[in-house]
Amino acid sequence: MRLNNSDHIPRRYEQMKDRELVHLFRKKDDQLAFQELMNRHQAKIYSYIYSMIQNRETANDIFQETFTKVITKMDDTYNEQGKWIAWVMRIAHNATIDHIRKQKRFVDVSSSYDNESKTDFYERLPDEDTPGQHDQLELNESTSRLLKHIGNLPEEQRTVVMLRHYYEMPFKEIAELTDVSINTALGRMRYALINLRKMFDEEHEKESNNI
Amino acid sequence: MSTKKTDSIAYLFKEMDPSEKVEFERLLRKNENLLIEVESLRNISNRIDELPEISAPDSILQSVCEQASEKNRSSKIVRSKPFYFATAALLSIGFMAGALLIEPDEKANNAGNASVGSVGSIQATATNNSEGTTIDGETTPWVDENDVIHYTGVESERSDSLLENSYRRLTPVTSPSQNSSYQRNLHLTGSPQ
Repeated sequence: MRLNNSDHIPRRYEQMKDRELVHLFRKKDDQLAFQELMNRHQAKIYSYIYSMIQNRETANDIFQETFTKVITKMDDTYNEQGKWIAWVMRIAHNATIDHIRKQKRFVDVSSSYDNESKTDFYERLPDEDTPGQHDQLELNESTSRLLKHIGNLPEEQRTVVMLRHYYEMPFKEIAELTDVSINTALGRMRYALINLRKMFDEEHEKESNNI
Repeated sequence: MSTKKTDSIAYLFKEMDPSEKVEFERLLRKNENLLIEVESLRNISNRIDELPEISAPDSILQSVCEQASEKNRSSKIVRSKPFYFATAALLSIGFMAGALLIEPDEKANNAGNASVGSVGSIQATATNNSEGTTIDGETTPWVDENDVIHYTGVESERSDSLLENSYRRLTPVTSPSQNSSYQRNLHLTGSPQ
């Protein structure tokens, strides 16, 4: 997915590899090279963040935070031997997981559980940042449903599904990134798919009952 | 051959070796339940594949691009700084070299004039001239290990008169409390030997 205002980027940039574009940006301060990199990868990165958080404002913040780190750290920590997108994605993933864990920690520490409703204090509050509330985005119904169900998956399973879908990451790399064994990563994907199937079945059952 | 629970995922996502894949497909043909599971998982996986890519808002993308160009501008300044540092370093080296060239001449001039000094400076002079020899025939004082001042290059009678003159310059202490502790700790031991 290309940027709306990317017409000014010469065609030769499109033919370059990421490595070459990164080199141009780092060594020759070539802004067009950076814009071409953004053209190529921004949608995948944004989609990953959004599908994990499912809140437009927060996704925007995390996306910007990710690229602030990318721009400031590119000279120091990025090794040109590695894939640039894998490096960026790792930053995006870490920023996303940090945000989710901060949210979770806040709820875990401060929540008070209500036995009657079987919910904690924060679950009873209307929370704008809850996964599943894919606001401000016009998506078709089936996509909305799918995103909602993905949002209800445990964080570990959601991570594996989204890393695989948006980055086409091999399970070996997913395992490394999430610091688990390859079998655990495969197992998480399996449980994620089983859980999604259950959610779709339950939803289907509800709809049938309503009719 | 038994299958691991994760084999169906590895098969579905094409993460099996060719030999493992052949073996797994053979099992699929034999085991109907396994086939149902794989197909069911494939169905959900296909749904996920339909998830669209969502573009970041233009305003955010623009601000990221601006940030990148600002960073480059600031890094250009940082990159040009070494030139200034090098110039400053060259100038300071020049000053230091100049100072070193001038200093030896001054030292030579000052050496003759420095006839009066503290015990330390006298001792230093004495140490430099350990044999008590004179420079240009002048009187050279030196201090022995008991902190007694001696004069080399003068006869003992003249040395005595030198000390006598020194004693005359001393004035009696009228108010001991006004003297600093440093002065009180000073001992004059200039007895002739």
